[in-house]
Formats: sequence, structure tokens, C-alpha cells
Amino acid sequence: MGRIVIGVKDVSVIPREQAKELLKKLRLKPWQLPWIRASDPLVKYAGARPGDILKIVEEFPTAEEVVCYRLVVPG
Amino acid sequence: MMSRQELLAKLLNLLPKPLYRELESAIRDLSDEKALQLVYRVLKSYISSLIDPGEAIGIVTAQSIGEPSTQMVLRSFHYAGLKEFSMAKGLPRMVEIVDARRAPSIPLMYVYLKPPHNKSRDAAESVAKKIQQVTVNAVAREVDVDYLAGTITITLDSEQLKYRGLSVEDVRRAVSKIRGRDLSVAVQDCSITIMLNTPDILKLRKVRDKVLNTRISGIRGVKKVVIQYDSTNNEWFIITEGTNLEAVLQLEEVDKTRTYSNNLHEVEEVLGIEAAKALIAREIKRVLDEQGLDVDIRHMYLVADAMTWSGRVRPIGRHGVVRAKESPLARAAFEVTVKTLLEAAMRGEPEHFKGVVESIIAGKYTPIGTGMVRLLMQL
Repeated sequence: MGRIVIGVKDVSVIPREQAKELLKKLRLKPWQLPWIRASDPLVKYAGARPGDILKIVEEFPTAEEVVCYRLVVPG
Repeated sequence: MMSRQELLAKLLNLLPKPLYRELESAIRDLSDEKALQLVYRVLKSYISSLIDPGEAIGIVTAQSIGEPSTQMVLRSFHYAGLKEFSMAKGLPRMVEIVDARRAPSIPLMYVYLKPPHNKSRDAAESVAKKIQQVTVNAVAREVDVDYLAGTITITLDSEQLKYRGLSVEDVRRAVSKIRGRDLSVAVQDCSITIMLNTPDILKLRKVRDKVLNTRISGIRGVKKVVIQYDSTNNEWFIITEGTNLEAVLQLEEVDKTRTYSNNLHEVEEVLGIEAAKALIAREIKRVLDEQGLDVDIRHMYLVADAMTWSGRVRPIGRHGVVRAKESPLARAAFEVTVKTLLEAAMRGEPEHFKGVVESIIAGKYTPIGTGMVRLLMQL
């Protein structure tokens, strides 16, 4: 897998159905995820809109990669 | 009994990649039975080394970074002035990062290049010339201000011009583009004469300064460039003093996936919050490494996570991370107690006693470790 910017390997929008499942598995409300602003370059890159959940594959020194979910918020 | 493929596929989902690869190569030559034993042992120790729910990781991080940092203050005297490159180091830089200052005291940009531009010093240098901001001042040999005639005559250094790949015409064009002043520009051989159309002696000095600071080529804000060699990747890259990520990333030769600056807010703006998060963690790690202090990078990532979860880079302190706390008592316990309490009272904020700080204040069990567990069943 390549690299988009420093620290980020890949980013994708999670489809609504899968997002529901994910939140159920994590037992979280969407707003309890870390946020990402709609004006963020990564959001534009992934083509996401506020309310979407992004799946971000991060580079991580000890585990090579780590998945981080972020809720797209207006701003 | 699972086949080896099935077993490995399951492990791939369970273990971090480096651990998985090591385990895979270790069991390759073992018999099925031995392999299974090894997998069992590795899994057992991996799972037992994971953080348990309710573990107070914030405190562990605070201790793990805080304790070595006290050593840093003392040791920084020994290390000062050792490196040729001026760079904010030690505790001052650490404070800069954690406070998320608007601009670092020494803004630096690390510009990595795409091959073939990173393969030789000359190739990197030609890119560096494109990046470095060249002002009129840098190519001027002599500046004369004639107050009687109301003219400024700048004699250009032709060798400097040649070195930077510029011509007198480039300088003339840059100077004549200056807006807001009514100027006429005349060129004669290697000198440029600037005349105010409405003579004003007081303004002359200001115009001189403005002309000298006019950018002829390069990227705005990039004051100094240094070309460095990275022996691990066998490539040349550029470090600049003064940053302008947005402009640099638009150059074709620049590797957009690796280039960054040490200005957190600039990185957040241009590369996004995830890049800023990675940068916070790496910069803190770098500061500690430079001082010879070994702190696990996961502590830095926890700090970086806390600073960036809201989608913006926020300082750790009463204007940032602490202010975002829901509990008024927890905020009041940190700094400026009376003001915080008054404001909370004015807004009529409720106190739910869900966090650690407010629970301690009220003498309740803290939601840490076994204190997190609650009975759902009515007895």
C-alpha cells in the first residue's frame, strides 16, 4: 500500500450500512468517534460529506499500520 | 484441525503485521504440532500484553513522558550548540508542540524529492534554487539612494544573478510589479534606477526597503535552503528555513507523500489532521531521542490523539484539551479555578461526576480499573 501524506496510508468512506454495524460493534454513538472537519484535505480526497465515517489506515511505528475511524463533521 | 493456511489467515487478523511476519517465518519449518504450540504461546503473551479495559493510560503516559523530561532540562546544557543546524531543541521545542503554538520559533520544512531529482546533489540543488526565495537584496551589490534627485540606484551582482539563473530583466519585472507606489523603473547595463514619480524624500527610504525585499524568484517565505544526504534511503533532500508547504507541494519534483514542515497548524491546514497527529507524535519522539531518552512512541501517539480528536490541533491546557472537558469541576481543578466555576455557574452547567478528577473531588470511586464496572442486574 502506498502513502497519501505523512502518517496516512489509505483513506476510504465506509458505506452507511457497514458504518451502522461498526458502531454497534464498538458500542459507540457516531459523535463519540474522533472527528475530522469537512474542510480537511483527506475528506476532500476521499470525497466524503459530513455525517460519513472515514476509515483511515495510519502508519504506526510499532504495528506498521493502525486503523482509525473518524466522523466527518461540518467545519 | 485447521489447515496451516486457515491458521495463518486467522492470525493475520489477530496480530500486528510485524509480529505476524515473524511468527510466520518461525513456524515455516516446524511440524504442525510444534507450530501450534508456538502459535499458542505467542498469542497468549500477545493478548496478555494488551492494555486492559479501564487501565489509566493517560496517567501512565504523563509519567512516562514527564519523568525523562526532567532529565532533559539538565542535560540540554551539554548538548547545546553541538549540531550545525539551528533547530529548536529540548524542552523549548517540547513546550512548543504541546502548546500547539501558532508558529514554531524556527520554522523548518523537510522537502523530499521524487526520483531522479533525489539521486544527486546537483539535481537536488537545482530544485532547491527553485524553492529558495531570492530578493533584490540578495543579488544587489550596491544600493545608492539619491535624496536630491529622488532616485534609488541598485547595482546588481552579475555573478549572483548568473548563479541563481536570473537576468537583469527578471529583476526589472519584479520591481516594476510593486504595487501601491507610483514608480518608474529604468535599466542600464547591470544597474536599475528607480524613480518616484511624485518626489518625496520621506518615502524614499520606505521604497528602498520595499524594493530590496521584493521577491524575484523562489517561494515566498523560504529564507534558507540546505541540501542534506540521507544515507539510509540513499537520497538527497532539502531542509528549508521558513515554510510554505502549499507552494512547495505544487512543484512537480516534490514528493508530496513525504514532504512536511514542523509547523503543526500549517500541516493541519495543508495535509490534514491525520498528518498533524503523526507529526506531533514524531516531533515529541525526536526531541526525546535527541536527548538520549527512550520513551515508547505509543505514549506520544496518545498525546497526539488527545490533541487532535476534535479535528483541529488543540493545545494541552486550559485553552485546549482541558477546556473541552465536560465536567466543570474537572476544568476548575486544572487552572483559574474561580473564573471557571463562576462561568460554569452562570451557564448552569450540570456536573455528572463521570470523570476521574470530579469523582476524586466528590470522594467517589473513579471510573478506572475495577471502578469502571457497574452492576446492571438488580439484586
